[in-house]
Amino acid sequence: MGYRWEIFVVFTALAAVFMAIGCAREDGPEVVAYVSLDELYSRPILDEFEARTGIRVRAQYDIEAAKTTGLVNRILAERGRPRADVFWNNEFAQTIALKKAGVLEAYDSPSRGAIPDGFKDSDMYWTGFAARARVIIYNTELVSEPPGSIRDLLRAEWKGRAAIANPLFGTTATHAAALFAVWGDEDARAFFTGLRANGIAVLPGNATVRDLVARGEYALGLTDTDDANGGVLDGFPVGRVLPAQEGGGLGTLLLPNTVALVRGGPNPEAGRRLIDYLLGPEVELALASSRSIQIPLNPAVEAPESVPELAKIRTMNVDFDSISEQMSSTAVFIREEFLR
Amino acid sequence: MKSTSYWLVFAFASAACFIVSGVPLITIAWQLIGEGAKLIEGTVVPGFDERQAALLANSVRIAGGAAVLSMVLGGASGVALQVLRVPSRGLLLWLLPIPFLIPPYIQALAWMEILGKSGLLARAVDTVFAGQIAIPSLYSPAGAIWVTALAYFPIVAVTTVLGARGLDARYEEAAVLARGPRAALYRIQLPMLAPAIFTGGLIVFLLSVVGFSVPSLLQQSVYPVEIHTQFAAFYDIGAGLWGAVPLLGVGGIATLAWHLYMRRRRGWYSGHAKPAGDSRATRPLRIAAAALCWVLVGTSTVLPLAVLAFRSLPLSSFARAWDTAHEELLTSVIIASIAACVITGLAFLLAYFSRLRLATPFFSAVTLSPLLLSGPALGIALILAWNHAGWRSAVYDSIAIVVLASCARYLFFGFAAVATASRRLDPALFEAASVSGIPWHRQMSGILLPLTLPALVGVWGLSFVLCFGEVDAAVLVTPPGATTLPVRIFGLLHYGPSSLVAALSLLVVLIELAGAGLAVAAYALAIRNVRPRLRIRHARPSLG
Repeated sequence: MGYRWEIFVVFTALAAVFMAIGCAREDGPEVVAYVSLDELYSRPILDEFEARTGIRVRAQYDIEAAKTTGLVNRILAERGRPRADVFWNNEFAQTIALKKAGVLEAYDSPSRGAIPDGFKDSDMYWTGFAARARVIIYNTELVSEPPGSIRDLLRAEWKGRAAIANPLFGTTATHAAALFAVWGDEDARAFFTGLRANGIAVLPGNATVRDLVARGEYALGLTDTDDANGGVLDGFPVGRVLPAQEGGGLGTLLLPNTVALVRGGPNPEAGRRLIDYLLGPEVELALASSRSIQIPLNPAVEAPESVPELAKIRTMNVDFDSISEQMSSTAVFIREEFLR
Repeated sequence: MKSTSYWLVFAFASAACFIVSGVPLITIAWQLIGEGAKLIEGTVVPGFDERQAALLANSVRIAGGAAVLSMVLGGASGVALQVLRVPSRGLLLWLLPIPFLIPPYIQALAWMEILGKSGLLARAVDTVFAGQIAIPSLYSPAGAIWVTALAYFPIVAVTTVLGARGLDARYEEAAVLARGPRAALYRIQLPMLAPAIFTGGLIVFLLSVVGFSVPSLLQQSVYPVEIHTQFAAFYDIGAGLWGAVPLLGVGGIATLAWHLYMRRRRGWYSGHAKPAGDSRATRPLRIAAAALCWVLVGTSTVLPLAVLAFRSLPLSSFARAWDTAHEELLTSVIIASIAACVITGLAFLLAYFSRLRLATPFFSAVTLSPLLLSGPALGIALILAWNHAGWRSAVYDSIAIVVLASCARYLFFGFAAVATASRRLDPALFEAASVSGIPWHRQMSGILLPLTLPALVGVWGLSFVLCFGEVDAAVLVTPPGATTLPVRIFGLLHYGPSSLVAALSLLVVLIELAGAGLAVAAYALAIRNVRPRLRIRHARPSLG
């Protein structure tokens, strides 16, 4: 018989070689960034930071399919021995939750000054930049007159024809909490109950809403500007509307990226340098010029024409801390009544 | 009387099994004890209410339905391939397993293009029948069952083929002589294949009951989303871990039922392999069975791949896909290869020691539990267990932790397969070796290893495919800078260009096909060496 323990030696040697490759480290300064903005857009920015500073960025990305359970829970679970220096979140609610959990460290970045007050933490635990907005996406082959407000989704003509992402997760959860904060409990509950009665479809994520509206499965839905723009650029028959922009309207919810220093991370100084870079005008311009058309918060940044201008957007009159405080109670309602 | 070295190797195998599968379990148990203490204080209430019970019931319904449909489709195709030996069998043997290499999420998207509200079929039916006839909705439990079964039925087909190969040929020969070929097929061969089909069905059930991507996409509420909610909406790690316990219970009950069912039937698969030859089935039956197999290939393989290929146009997308993700691809291949090697080696050792009394149920329970914990719960458990200063940081800060996560999730399948293969071996081989004074380790390397080599190669291939696609736990523990390909694809799914995502998905299928093809080629080589040795062995006692 030709088969002996040698086969195990080969297996073990193979494993050892692969392990050595996998564990190989490069010398020099580095920073560990946990990034929930999609790699497609964040990686070029981190590569540019590497090229300019010589600091190697070891990035870990989140995925929408993980229902944002990934990085936030990882930071919480790692709190005894933090591995991340910087948390770059593509929205704000989770960052505020991490601040409350005591896993962030305050940092007064010199680049913070250019960001308007409403988009940064007064205690300096986090700073916002490059925002997305909630939009109504519609299929241009199925809808000639798109609704101008999210309340219009309750109208009979959209019964069974509209979709939203699961309001327990991601930016839809944040949007739901914002509605509870602005409208109050009773109105917001009535709105979601009405959506349910009108047969709204609840999909796994905003990208799925875009895809299914683009394919004509649904006539319209709620998603974010970046998702909607992806559909437009890919040539699908979709259009987008910022909701409630007319006089007296509620306005739309802006969702800035947020960046924060993780308390006790292994490379705090490099982490601070990365934060300074991310809050600079070049990063906002790069994100505005990408497929995700993120809206610059720094008034000095001149974005391409396709990007909605911050000053011209009617935004929901609510502060981020209030929204964050609503998150848990809203999630309980959504889980136990809306999705029942 | 066993030697000291025997017990040392047993201790090594048990310790390795403990590190891979036991550590996450104990970590979770430790956390839950803490949560339990809080529960007593009244601060945390991870109760199991009516809503959660309904979600769990829905999960079980969809997973059970998918398992039953997979058993029908996989069992029928397995019988067609190995028992009826249909025309074009060689090609079908390569094509039928492919759906397992396509992520279920991608299968679901492809089916939405066909059966969705504005899918091809819906539009065609609408045009022809002017809206008077509606096709069944894909957005239903039946739709989720259909898509899941199409992704997983190859598992049952493979277990059926392997079961048919291992069936003691004397039963069939005796039945043919006594009652003729038709009765032999319906009264002997098919009933005797039931355990192999149920084994595949169990695997499908376990994979389906912890999955949520397909049900979520088709708007079906299932229990795993409840676990995700605790993590993602409430940031409550304790409640998330509590939430994993009912799934453990469901999977445990299903596996226990399978064990009880199999207990008296394992002897049917003595491995007294029948030489490959023509089937005694009638020609119309064989042609009908071949047609069924080709319809299955069309619906489960050609259709989703055609949708992906169409979406990936223009062809330059493939060049972009390579530029975008070749590093992730290499990382994934390395991780999946190491994990497959570890699973195969460990499964072999555990299978050897499973001959000890009570070892099989113990190893089964320990290796199965991490799979049923759900990906996020396993990931959190691994962080809590391994993210500590000292020697454990060397594991946590390297890709070793991803290898551990992959091994923890899929070791059960490897162990179950190799243990089954080793049980089929004639005990007389080992008894003769012992009487001749051959030490245990020579028996292991000289008898068990070569005779289970085909199974080991198969386990390597299966593990490679499963580990290559691992996302749920990997996303929580992958070291920064070492993104895997599935994580990259799921990231791009958010708002990456659809042509790039489709090209990358096809690339994944090709890589998995290459890994599986490697395993199949090695299997063919190994079985060629093993078959003559199996044929000369002595007969075993009869049924039951």
